[in-house]
Amino acid sequence: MFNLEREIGKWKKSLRKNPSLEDGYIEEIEQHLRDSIEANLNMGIEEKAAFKEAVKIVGEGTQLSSEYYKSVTTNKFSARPSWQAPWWMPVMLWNYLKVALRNFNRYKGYSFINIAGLGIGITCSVLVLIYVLHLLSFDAYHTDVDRLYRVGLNIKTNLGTTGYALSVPPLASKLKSDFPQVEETARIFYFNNKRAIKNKDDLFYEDGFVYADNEIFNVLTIPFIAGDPQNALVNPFSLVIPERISNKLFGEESALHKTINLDGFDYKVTGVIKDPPSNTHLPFDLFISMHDLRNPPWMQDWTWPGMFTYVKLKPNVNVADFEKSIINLIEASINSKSSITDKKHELFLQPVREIYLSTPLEYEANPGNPALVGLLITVGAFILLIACFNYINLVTARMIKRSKEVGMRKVLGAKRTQLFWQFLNESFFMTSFAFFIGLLILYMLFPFFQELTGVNIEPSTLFGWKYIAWLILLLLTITIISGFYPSFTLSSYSPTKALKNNPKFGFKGNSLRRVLVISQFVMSIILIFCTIVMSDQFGFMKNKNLGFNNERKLILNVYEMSSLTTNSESIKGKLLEIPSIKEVAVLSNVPGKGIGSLTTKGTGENASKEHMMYYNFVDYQFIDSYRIGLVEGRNFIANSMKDILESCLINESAANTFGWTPQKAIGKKIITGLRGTTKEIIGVVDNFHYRGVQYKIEPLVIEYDPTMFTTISVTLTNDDIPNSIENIKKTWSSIFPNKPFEYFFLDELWNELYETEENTKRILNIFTSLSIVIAAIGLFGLVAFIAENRKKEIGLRKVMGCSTKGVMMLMVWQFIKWIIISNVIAIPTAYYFMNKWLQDFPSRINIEPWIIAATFTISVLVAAITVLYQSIRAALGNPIEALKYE
Amino acid sequence: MLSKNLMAASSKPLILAILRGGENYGYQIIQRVKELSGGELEWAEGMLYPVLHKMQKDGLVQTKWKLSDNGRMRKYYRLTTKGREALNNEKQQWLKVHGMLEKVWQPDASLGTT
Repeated sequence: MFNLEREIGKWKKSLRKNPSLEDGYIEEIEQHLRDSIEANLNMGIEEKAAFKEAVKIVGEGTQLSSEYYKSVTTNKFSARPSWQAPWWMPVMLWNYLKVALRNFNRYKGYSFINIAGLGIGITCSVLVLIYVLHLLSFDAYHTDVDRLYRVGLNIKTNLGTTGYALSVPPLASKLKSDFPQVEETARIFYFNNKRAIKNKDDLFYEDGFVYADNEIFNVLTIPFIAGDPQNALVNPFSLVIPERISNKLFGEESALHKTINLDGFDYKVTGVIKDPPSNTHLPFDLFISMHDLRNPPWMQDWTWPGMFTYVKLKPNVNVADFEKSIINLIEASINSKSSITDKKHELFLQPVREIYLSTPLEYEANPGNPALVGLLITVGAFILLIACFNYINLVTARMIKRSKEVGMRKVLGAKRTQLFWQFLNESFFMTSFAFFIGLLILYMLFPFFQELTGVNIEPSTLFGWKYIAWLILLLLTITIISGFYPSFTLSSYSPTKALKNNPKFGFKGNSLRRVLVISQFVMSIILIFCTIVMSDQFGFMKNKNLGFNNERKLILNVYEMSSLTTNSESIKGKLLEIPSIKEVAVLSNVPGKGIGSLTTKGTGENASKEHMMYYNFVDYQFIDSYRIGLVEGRNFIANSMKDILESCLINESAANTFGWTPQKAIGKKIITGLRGTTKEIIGVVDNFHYRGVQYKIEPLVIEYDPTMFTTISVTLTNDDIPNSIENIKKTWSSIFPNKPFEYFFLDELWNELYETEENTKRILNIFTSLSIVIAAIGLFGLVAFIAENRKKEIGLRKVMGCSTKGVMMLMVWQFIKWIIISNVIAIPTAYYFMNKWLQDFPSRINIEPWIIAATFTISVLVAAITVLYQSIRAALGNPIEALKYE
Repeated sequence: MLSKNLMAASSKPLILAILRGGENYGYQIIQRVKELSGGELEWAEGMLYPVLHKMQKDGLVQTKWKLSDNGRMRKYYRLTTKGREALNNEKQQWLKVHGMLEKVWQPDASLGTT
């Protein structure tokens, strides 16, 4: 039944919502409405319709209100009442934003803590995001990259399996001719990669020379600026150079068809390519024709892993089937010749896109660090979670303060969903603000980050749609993680409870808070533990006795073989004339510098034994000059032709591989890999580290072979290094007038060997510190709120006679308890993972009790310091203040 | 029908003129305006109240709540001296505008202006 008076009453009430409609105004409008209704009734319209018509004629409340406002406002520009949302704002959003800002303003300290923590967390996670996206972008630039594969080789012996990034030279042509699935194949031979470039007045070394089949340009994407990719490397002495070299040598002029001198040979430039991007697994850009090698016999060797071999498959080829059909290709090709070895060759395919992110194989050109990727993602996620938990913690701790607002809103008609959205909105504002701060920090840290990670990203690419999409996704994720729980809980309050004084809620804020703080600290403690273990391990590696002396060794590289073959003795003589030089040794590779492995065969009863062993070629002074211990036997004799042709040294590991003790090895004969000559073992040396300590000491064969010498190692006697270098340079110029003078110190090289590890350590250090800071910030905020909530309790305790110290202990203990629980959870977890991580290192530390103690102490100390300030404040508070209103 | 802008501009002289005939309350004033405008208003009737309030604020009208014959409270508006002056002023201006428009709208006058 339509009740006119009630409807008018409702209508009046709805008008009251409009801030500029005062009671008097409403009264006047009401009279107008009544007059209108009366007029309508007089016209014979029935009551309900009369009312509706009148309401329509009088006008809608908001509109009226805004007209009223216009008639009094002095702001003629927008004339939008301050309580009204701009037209583009959804109705309540404006109010939510305002309330959020007011809250922000009222609790500045709290908001700062919240946003700072979240901001730092966001910086870290965006950094991780950028880095991971960069890693995932590796080699994506190749056309048809999903059809590109590299053929790798697993060599299986009784000692285990070794994976090679290289495979055998004749494979490529075989694959192309015998397998219809293959569209194209190409090889890259990484050898003699550093050469002296001479052009008019320019003379400099350049790294990154490789021999390549011309087909490489059909397989990998290597864009030409000048020249024809179809025949660039067809003729010998052709050279394809990148833009940077072209610019360096010829400036604006085109380099095409010009002649460049490499190590004394003239090459014709047949192509200029774009500089390769940094995200490639194959960082070479100076291509020489494979024909320069003049097809030596080893080009047909089916057992020698020597060349990167790439395959482009036809579209829609079943890759697994193809891989299965080639797996035993090498065995099939060599079995006809010899079937006595216990060595097995198995081929496999590696998608080009995945090479960089896989565990590096032997001879990988640009080895990635897949472990770092996992580590970074974990650390990034940890930090982000810690920051989000901070948010949840601080918001839930403050819920009680907002309960009145929730109650009031509910009384005024807000629905639960509306409140939920309000708080989620608020979380969104906070997160967006934190995001802004986070990106600002990121912008400032970016150069530092690039240096740290070696990632070379143009900042402009960060504004690409891909990054922006990721950032938006991240923003929403954080909003949801951090905002969902508080919004859900806050919106669930019943108004009667919420509006009570001193509301006691059934929500489990307290235990949730405990869980969150504990998980935050679990994550931080895991990071602390990992950092300590890693630092200890890397320190151990760096300080480990290498088995040789690398001090004061100045290394000169000739690079080109044959430069030292005949005249090494006279060069040594000339260098020794310099008074500050004590010793000079000539060799192929100094320890720590790239070294190659070759097949080594046994003789006699060992004839079936065949192993891949590392080779180094040195003169008779190497062992003495490097202070390498001889376990058994003797060193090479100076200039003895017999030793050069028929003798070799091996290390203990090689002796073990053949099943000999060092004593028994002396006098045994082996067939060495380079030329397949039979040599007698005259001595066994210590297992010195000829590669970085992160590698196991594999079998090594040392030969006295002057044809392989490329390096001069000079031991200096005094500390006047600049003067010595000056003298050496003079001598060098007189011996090699056409070679640039380039040198390095061996100990510096060995420091660089741990660059990856150092980087990992540095990154982890930074992130760990940040995670501690964020967790501590959160704890600080939380303690502040708890102290405030427990103000009365503390006051009462003090009144009842509890000492200040007692109150302090009460507060501190509450948190220390949590930290201890965190430690109990975190340390075994971290111990398990770090122990696993350490297994990859052949020489490793043990996780000693002091590491556990240190982790525990650091975490407890950080927590105690954080909690102490607030606790002291709470404990010193005057109980009268706290209990005044009771 | 009058455009919204012109209606807004002319509402002030209209109301002033209506009130010249003696004090009146909102509903009556608005009905009168409605009548004059040809029976129909383009905007809600309530919208005229802010105009009245503005005029009151500017001192052109005075108001008084009175109990009407049917027992309802009504707010009556009455012109002040300042209101009368304003009405004269408005009248002069509107007549001037009217004269100007009339002149330019005479068929041959438009030729003479160039």
